[in-house]
Amino acid sequence: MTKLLEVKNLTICYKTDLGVVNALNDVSISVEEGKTFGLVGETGAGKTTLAKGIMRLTPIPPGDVKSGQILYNGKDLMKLEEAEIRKIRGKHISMIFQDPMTSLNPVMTVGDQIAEVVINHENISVKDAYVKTNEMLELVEIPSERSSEYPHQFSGGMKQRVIIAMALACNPKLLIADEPTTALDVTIQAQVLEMMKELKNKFNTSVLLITHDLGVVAQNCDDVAVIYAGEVVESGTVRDIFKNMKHPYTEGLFASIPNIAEDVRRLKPIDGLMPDPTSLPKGCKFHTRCKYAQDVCRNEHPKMTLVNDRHIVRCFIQENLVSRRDIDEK
Amino acid sequence: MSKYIIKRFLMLIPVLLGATFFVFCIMDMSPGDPAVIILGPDASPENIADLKVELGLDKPLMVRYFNFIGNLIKGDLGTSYKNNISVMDQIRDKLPNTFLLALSGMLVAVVVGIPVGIISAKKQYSVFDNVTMVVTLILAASPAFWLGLMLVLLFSLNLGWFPSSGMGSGFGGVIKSLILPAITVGSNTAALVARMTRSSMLEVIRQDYIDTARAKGLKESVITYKHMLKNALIPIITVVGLQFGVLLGGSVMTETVFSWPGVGRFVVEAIKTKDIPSVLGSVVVLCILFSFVNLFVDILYAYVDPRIKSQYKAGRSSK
Amino acid sequence: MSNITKHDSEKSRSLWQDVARRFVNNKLAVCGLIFFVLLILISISTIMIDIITDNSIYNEYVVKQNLAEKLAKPSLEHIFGCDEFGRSIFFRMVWGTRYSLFIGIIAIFIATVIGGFLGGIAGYYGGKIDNVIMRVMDVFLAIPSMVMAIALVAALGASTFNLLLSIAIPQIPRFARIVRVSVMSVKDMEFIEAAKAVGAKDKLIIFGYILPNAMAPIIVQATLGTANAILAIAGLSYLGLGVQPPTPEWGSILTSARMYIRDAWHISVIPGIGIMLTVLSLNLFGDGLRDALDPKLKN
Repeated sequence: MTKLLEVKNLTICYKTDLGVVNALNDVSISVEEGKTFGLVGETGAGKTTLAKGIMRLTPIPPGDVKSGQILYNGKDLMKLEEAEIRKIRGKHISMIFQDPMTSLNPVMTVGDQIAEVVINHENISVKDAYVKTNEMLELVEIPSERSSEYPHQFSGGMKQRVIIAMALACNPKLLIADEPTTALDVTIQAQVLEMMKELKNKFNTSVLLITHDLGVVAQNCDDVAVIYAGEVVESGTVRDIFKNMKHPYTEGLFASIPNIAEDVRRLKPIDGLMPDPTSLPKGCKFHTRCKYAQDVCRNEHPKMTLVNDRHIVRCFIQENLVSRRDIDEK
Repeated sequence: MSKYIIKRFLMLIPVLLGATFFVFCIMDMSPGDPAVIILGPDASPENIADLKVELGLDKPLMVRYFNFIGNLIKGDLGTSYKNNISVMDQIRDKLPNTFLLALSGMLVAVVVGIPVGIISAKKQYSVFDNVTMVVTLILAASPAFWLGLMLVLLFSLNLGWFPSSGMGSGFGGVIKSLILPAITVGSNTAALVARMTRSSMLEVIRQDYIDTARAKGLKESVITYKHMLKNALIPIITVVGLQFGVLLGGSVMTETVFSWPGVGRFVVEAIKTKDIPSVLGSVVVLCILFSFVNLFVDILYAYVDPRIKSQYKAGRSSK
Repeated sequence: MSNITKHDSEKSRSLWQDVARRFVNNKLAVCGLIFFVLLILISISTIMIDIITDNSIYNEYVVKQNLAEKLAKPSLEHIFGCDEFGRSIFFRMVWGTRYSLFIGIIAIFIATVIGGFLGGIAGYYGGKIDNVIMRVMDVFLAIPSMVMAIALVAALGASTFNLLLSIAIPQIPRFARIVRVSVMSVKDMEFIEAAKAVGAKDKLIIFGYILPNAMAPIIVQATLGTANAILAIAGLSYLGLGVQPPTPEWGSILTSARMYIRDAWHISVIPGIGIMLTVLSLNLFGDGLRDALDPKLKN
């Protein structure tokens, strides 16, 4: 397996009037070729910051990329000139944004918006670009006659399909999908995800799928990372995370969604709220909500510990410095 | 699209009838008997009574109004009390000058205001942005006629670059004499347009579709002009259209400062000599001009914003 | 439902405190307010002086001609110089403050009351009444406000009272529109339904519930409208259609400026700066107020 994308120790913060927001702290993930990598976390955990950071779309100011490497096919994107990174965007790495309602330019026809990316990157005539545009629209099951219509004439699900067509028009190696279905109705969600999966297999595209929905992860992903307060707390294969979760936060996530197989009377939400990113707690970021928290959790920052060769977790329990039994027996 | 234009055009008719009626009523309230003004205070009562019948002043207001409208459609605005010359002829000579002045003022406002607004927004909080904001605040707060005086003081009297009054002859002469009045008329609007463009651009810059455009790998200049500007211009077009009325009003003042031979100066002179037909005719013509400019802006608006166009289409099919 | 009204009344004090806090943080807006208050104090004190001295200072320094000092340049004796009749521009400007200011304020007050009333009725009752009122307002809006003001002055004759009317009338449709929109946005809220449900009369609903909630945009528009009115007054007076000489309104001081611009630049420059600063202060104050009342609008 070759790693298509490797993010190493990425740290990004935003400078605001209320203080410095530490959005991403020392995040490392890697996406393998042809695989789907899921990134799971609550709202505000830093998922979108990571997505934009990979594309080098962090707004500066207020954003500030402190450190880190983004290796794409072994090449560090952080070191590229603006003109070079533009050749990567849309051509090698594409992105689908969260809200299809606002992600398309309201005063351009959808055809023009798709053709624009083709003309920008491919060395073909304008006419051929529109032929390609129509092909892409048919591929996402939108009649090509509609390419001269404006975004407001499409429904939400169709808009998201237009965006998928646009993102895949140049046959990118990596597709970053930032909560692609959150803004859609549940029935449309499944349809859009199914389409993404199909096209991914067809074009052999790798996908970085950002979501807060564990069901989506289970159905679509090969590998998963769980992110909390700008930090990866656990990562591994889907099997590792779903069947052998180690981090108390991951456990909390699973406990807070309904499970059809088990007869649970009440869901168990995780107590408390995510810490204020302008003043993150010392030690483990999760200790304020963790029922196993000990003094060591409050003072020391846990390191990433291997569970098996793929599965890593950032918790003192795994480092054998804290025991679960202390609490569970009480 | 042509149906939309026709519909808008038909909607204009009642508004114009209302506006002219209102102006007609105001003018009717003006003190003094027109017959007395024309014949002088020494005229005999019989002569005055005869003239009243001749002018149709003995008829009720509504009858006179519809006579006025009937004549207006035929291109007749009556004759001036002062010199018996057709008001329409006088306005026909002067209206192009006023239109030229207001349009040039608009051109100054748009050509200066929009780029300045774009740069300010792209470089928010830079020195350029701060200076622009201060200058636009000052310009927006200055009376147009006073700015005209300041321009005359600086560029005509001290530097001698442009004439201080009148309209030059020949193309070059007209342009040279047009520059200061056009800046005077356009300055307030330029300030407004610059501020609006800036805030509208700042609004658009934050939109998700700009991120989408960046993620496509487009050049920043393409993003600015193709994706941001077209969206940012939509609210500005409405303002520019409404502002044309302000420009016409400003022209009246500016024409007086620069002795520009337009309708504005004509009105002011007519008011001073109580020449009611000239005032009425000029005001009505200015209103009609303003309404047509607004109609044009509405159509332009529908052209730029596809949402308006299809809204109209949807409305039509549902009827 | 009742929750919302209770919530509102409990929070109303802290809401206004919040607005005040945001406003005070805006230095420019505070400067604007201070300058504006200063102008009002000047106006009031000159009126008081005229009453106490039975216009003797007014007659001696403001309107009395002194041809020996004709077009005198600014000096220690006359810091703003003199006009073509040898009158001190400084005195004329100080005494003229009241005209620009109070005509503007009163005209906008009239426009706010009439426009607010019409817009309130249109917005609250809707339907046919709304349609009729707003079509009439459309007709008014088809006439450029300066052109309408000129027509009104032309018909009614140039006097201070007519000036007031000709400034106020063109402004009415703007206030009617703003009030209508805010009333329409408030009237369907649940606390109004609650008030209706307990049998409150229309009058109480309009004045007790809707108006206080529609107040913010009206105040802002009134402040900015006053700035525009002051510009319009100066313009009409400059054309000789407003305040008549020898009354020292700022725009009318400028009337003679064009004629003497070669020999006496100060007559053109100084009164204009006065008008500009006044309008600027009102604009800053109005913008600050808008940002303080509705922080969402601020960039």
